[in-house]
Amino acid sequence: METAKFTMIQCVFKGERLYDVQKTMEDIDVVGITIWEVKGHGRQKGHIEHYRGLETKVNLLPKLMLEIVVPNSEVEIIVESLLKAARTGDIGDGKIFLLPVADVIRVRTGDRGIKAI
Amino acid sequence: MNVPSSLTDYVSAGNVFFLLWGAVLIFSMHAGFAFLEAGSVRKKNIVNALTKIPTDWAVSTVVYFLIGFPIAYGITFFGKASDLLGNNSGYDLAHFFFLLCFAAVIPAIISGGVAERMKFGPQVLAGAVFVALAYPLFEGLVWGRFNVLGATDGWLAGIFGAGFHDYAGSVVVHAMGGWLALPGILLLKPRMGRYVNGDSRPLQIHSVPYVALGSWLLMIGWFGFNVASAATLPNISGLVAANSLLAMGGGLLSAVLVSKRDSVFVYNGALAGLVAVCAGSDIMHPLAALAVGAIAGIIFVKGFLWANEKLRIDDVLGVWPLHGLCGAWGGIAAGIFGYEQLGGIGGVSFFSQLTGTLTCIAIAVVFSGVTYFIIKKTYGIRLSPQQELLGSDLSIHSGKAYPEELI
Repeated sequence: METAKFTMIQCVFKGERLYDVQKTMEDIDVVGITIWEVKGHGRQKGHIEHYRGLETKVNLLPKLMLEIVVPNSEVEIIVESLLKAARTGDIGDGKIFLLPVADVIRVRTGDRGIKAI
Repeated sequence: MNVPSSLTDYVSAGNVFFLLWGAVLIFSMHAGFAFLEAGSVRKKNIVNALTKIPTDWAVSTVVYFLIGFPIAYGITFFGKASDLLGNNSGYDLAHFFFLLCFAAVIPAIISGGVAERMKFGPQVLAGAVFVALAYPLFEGLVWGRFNVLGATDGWLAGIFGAGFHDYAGSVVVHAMGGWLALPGILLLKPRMGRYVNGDSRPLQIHSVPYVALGSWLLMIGWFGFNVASAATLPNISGLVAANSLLAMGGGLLSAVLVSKRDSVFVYNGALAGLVAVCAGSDIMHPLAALAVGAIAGIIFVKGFLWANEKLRIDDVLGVWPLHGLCGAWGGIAAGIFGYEQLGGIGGVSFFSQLTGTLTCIAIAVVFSGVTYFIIKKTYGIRLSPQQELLGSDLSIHSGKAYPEELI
């Protein structure tokens, strides 16, 4: 198979940044986005909660994950925008993952490649 | 036992029972305040709302027993228990319980305005100061032992011919609560993310069913609030009940129309009508009460949008428009629709109503401004940004509303 022309950008970020992340994506003309509600932890490993005196260790924290697939040429500018939009500067701001994507196919028409994005 | 003394016994017992019936109904309103706030905040602040309201209630009980009630009425409870009971079935104690239910409404109102970002201790402390001092001071001027605003032979009555009339507390309770809340809300500043770079970004409430439940509890309890303000059984008035019903209907219906059937506005519109009718509920015609309530519903809907969108006051539950503005309207409305020419029973003065209402607002704003300012400068009133983002449930109570969902 030839080298992938598309990249999936996954960005885990804090819920309160959603408005800015979404707005940034609109501003730089990313047409379609998917947002997941996810739970997880990084190095920090959560916190302690108390119910009727009983301690409960909570190590999975709720975050959001943005998933978009874009042409390789647009990846850097999108990553740069995401860093600005999702960052609060505190611990737990999240991660960005870049994954190669073999192809994109639109279900309604069967179009492939750049036309399907 | 001879007949007259046994009849007296029944009269005292009936009065005590009547007051306690009202008190217990108003007590249920506090469940209403709790759920109205719990529903109107985001998921991360539910536990805080549900913990603040009963804590404020308990603190109010203590400070009003020790300080507030004695200030307003000159009655203390430091004698022997048998003396407190007296020979009237403990009427003073029942009266204290009944009026405590009013006094404790003050922190419950404020709580909804400062929600989601205030520290726990300062909220409770400010509530205690208001219930111990600010509220009883004005209460005493209108209902209590100071012959100034309310009394028929008081200072204000001497000027305008009739004293300040506030039957069940549109001004004494609601305007006082709403205007005490305003300086706190302003000093606290808006919640993070509410207004960003000139944009208004509404922070969504998490539960319409909770808001509905809270509002229903308030509506039902309100009939104790207004009807039992008769204070003794022989003074009970069906007019008060009918006026409360019609004002509630008016507020609800005008909110339906003005807000285009927005459910949360509809539920608050009913409350706006009830807030406004308290003052004149014993002297107005039911159709006048309908009008007073309908206008209150419009004041709330328009006032809420004006305060939150235009003035950018982040009043989470709209307590200033609901209690502050509609309460003030209620006080003034009693001085309009109370006149015989408008179908009322008379014995009121428009200028007394206006003076009483403005006095309340002045006392509330100054008292609250000073109190919150001192607490802000010494201990601080607001959660840190990290605590606010995490939510007051976790940062103050180290637990969330639905622990089972932790995974």
